[in-house]
Amino acid sequence: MSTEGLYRQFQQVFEQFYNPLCKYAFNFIKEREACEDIVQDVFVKIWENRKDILAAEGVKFYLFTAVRNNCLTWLRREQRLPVYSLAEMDVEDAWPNPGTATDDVEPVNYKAMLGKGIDQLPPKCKEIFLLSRLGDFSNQEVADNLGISIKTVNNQLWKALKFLRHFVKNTL
Amino acid sequence: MEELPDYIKKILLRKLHGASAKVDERIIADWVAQRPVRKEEIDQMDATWQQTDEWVAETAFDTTSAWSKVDQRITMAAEKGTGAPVALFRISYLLKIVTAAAIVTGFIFGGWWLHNQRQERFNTITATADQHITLAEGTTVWLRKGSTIRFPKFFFKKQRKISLSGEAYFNVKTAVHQPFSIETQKGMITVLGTSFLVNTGRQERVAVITGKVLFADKGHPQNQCILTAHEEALFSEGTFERKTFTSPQHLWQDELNFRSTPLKEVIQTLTIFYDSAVKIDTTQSPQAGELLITASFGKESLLQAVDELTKLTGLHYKRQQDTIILY
Repeated sequence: MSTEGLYRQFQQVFEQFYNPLCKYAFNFIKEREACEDIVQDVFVKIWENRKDILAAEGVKFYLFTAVRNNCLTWLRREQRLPVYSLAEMDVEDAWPNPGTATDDVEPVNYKAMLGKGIDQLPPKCKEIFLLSRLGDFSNQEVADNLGISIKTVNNQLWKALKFLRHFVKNTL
Repeated sequence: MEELPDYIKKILLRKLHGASAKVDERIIADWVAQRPVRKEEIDQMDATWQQTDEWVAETAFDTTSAWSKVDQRITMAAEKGTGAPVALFRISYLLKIVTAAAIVTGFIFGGWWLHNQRQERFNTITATADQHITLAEGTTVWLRKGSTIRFPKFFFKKQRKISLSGEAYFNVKTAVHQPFSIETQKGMITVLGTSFLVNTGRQERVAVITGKVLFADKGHPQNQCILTAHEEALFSEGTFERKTFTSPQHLWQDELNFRSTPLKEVIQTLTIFYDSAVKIDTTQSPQAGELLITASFGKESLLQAVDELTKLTGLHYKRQQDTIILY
């Protein structure tokens, strides 16, 4: 493929994944600017060093993994507490009570509500949920990507949905 | 609420992902049949999933502006690659000179390669004489002598961006979702589809003939002014000076010079220069467009210019409403 064609493809990948990746990064780092910087860096590096993966099936895997790693590095460098470490993937977290959010929320916009709800998911569950929804990965792919069993993915996704359903219902 | 068995969760999730098989539907149907309340639960989960679809689709980050940053960084990195050898020569010391030379060659080659790569994505045209250019998407540019225009070989989906130094007239193809911007040394001009003149001398100037144009300070984009038809703005030292004009002829810095230029091109240029329609009646004079013209126009009125053309070519002219027709 010509460089021109490849660059166009690069741009298409960028347009497709920029927003999901930033939202994904925002899960780790609650600073919009830092998230955008990290995602942009990942893309620049792909163009400089890894043009070959642009055409590959696995580009999505690469992108989400690279963004996650760079977010964790950023947090370490900034000496901030990582939201969690992937190594200790214990499944049962403390679940917040979906009803408690009512106090501080002015109801109406359920999309914003949903964002809030997603934010309150326990970290590991949130990670699974975000990969599944933002990256549109299949449950098997999520499991592969995180090195966990597909059964865990299924359970966590289901819990996330249940939580979100109650969260939105109780806060509206 | 009952805790769902794992195999049911698995199937329901597969369904939500849009990857369920016929047999899945059967299993779910059977399962629901056992207790109808389950149907409601599934529907609610479905609704929540749909809502998260919308959350996912919501655009929270500005992809267009992010893309221009990434695009610019890649371009700049490629430019830096060309500059690298200079720094490398300074560290030449005797023992390593051969290695260094080899590396330098590599860098020079790499820089050249990158440079070429970069060049490949853009066309740069410097007009040695007034020149009409049509961009790939249909926008026409009349580039004045000595001016330079740089534009990508293909435009991005959400924007059309070019850069200009010198003087040019643009007739921008309308594409509402793909704004057309012109970067100059100090300014950024954004349009949706219109015709206007840009001059980027010491003072930068934009004059709008039809449509609407946003003229902004590149360094401080909130410092801007919006121009409509027959308005012009001069930009210097951070301020815009606005004026209205009646005859576009006064906008041009230089007079028109034609050296053995086909008449049809001369006419095209006059139309822009005087903002007035001039045509050749091709049914009466089919070959007239190919006649070669050598002439200069500047202070003349359009009629004087046309009169001179008729003398040069032996053609006649008539006026038909606002149009001048040569035959």
